[in-house]
Amino acid sequence: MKAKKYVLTFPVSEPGTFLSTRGTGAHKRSELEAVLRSASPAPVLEIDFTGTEAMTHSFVDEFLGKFYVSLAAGDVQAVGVRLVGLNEETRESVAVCLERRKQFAVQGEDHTLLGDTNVMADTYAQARKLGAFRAQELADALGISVTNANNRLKRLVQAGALSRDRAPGPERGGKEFMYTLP
Amino acid sequence: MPAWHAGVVLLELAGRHPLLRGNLRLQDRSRPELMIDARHLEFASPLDLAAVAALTHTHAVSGAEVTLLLPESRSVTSYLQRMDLLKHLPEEARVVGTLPHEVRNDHSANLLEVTRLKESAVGEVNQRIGFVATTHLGKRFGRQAFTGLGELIDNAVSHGASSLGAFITAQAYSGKTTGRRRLEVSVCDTGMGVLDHLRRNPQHSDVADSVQALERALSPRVSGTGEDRGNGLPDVLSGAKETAITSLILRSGNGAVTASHYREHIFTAYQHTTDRVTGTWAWLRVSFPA
Repeated sequence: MKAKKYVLTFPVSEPGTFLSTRGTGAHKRSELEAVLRSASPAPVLEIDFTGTEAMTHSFVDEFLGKFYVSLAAGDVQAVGVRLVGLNEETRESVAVCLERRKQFAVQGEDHTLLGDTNVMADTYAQARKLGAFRAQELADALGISVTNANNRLKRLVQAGALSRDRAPGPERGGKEFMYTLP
Repeated sequence: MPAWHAGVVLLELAGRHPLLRGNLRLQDRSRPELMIDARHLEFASPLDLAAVAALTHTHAVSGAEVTLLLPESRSVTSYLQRMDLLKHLPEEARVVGTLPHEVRNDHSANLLEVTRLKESAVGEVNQRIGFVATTHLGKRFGRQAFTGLGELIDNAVSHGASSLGAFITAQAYSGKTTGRRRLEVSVCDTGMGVLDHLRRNPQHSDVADSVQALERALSPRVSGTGEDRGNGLPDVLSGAKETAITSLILRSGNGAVTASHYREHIFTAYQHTTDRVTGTWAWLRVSFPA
């Protein structure tokens, strides 16, 4: 039986909140990382923007942009990360910030990518169709090399869009991974 | 009529929103007294209010006596009073003129009084400005406007920090006469100014003067820090550019820039000014169809 995933929801703000300044963003990121570090096992993290009316790009960069850097560096652990509760304007702020940093994030409601989605949007859509797969299967489905598929999968894992576990048994020697949706 | 002797530093605020017209002329800068003559002031913009607060504090801290001659117009004086300008003058400042009896109604949906902006006050200021913006411009336009103007708040608390702080004020206009709903916000800090801030980054140590500093600061990814950031000021202008005419005036040191942004139309004019501003003064207007 498949183990139920532990979802940790981090509410960004109270209803009706307007957010600005790098200082506020840094403070909010510290809160998020502290919550995440104390969570065991590593959860699926849901960053909930419900109630946030608007936020400046500087706030988003300091809060979210740098959080995704920590995540990619392994400073904090999460099985997956998704953003929920964004309105049209806060979604735009997130997209601009992530694009500038060449990052992307999963929007929880419709499982689309926000930010620098070039190439990765199709890859992620294909990954969602496959559900659980190895790199070779994704490469075959997209008609790309395994090396290319591995590079894209690495970025998707770093952004918390996919989970990666050691595959039950290597088919051709060496280590092989199984990718799943968080 | 008050008498002042020749040689005091005099700032004359006359007519409509005088500092928006760029006529900051401080006479005799060498004397330790600041006289602000607002007797002929007919209309005060947020910039006039926040700038007077910042200017009086920077002079007072250096030991100058500060005097404000109140407007002859009762309604303009009432407005300065209602906007809490008088409360934010230095304690020792002298106010000359007649203050009307104050009737204080709740206008929190239309304005933000002159407020000292410190890191600890950012949350409350954000809520007040956001409320004015969304009440007057609607949810969508108000949120867009905040996305840009919030960067001014960030600049003031992050780069304009000084023991005197910064001053912010805002006013919404209904558009009954202009046909456009407008929100004006001004943030005037008393910090190091754009030139000295940029020069902290070795990459920009070659910046020669305040005008060049403003030019760089309005370019993307230019920062006084070593980090890859520096989109704050460009984002001030682009926050609502698809739907609003956004105008920005910045003064710092002896440099000034006027910039407007609407869709693909961009207008920018830089100039050297006779008088220096300590810190950075910013005024932003977002103007949406009524």
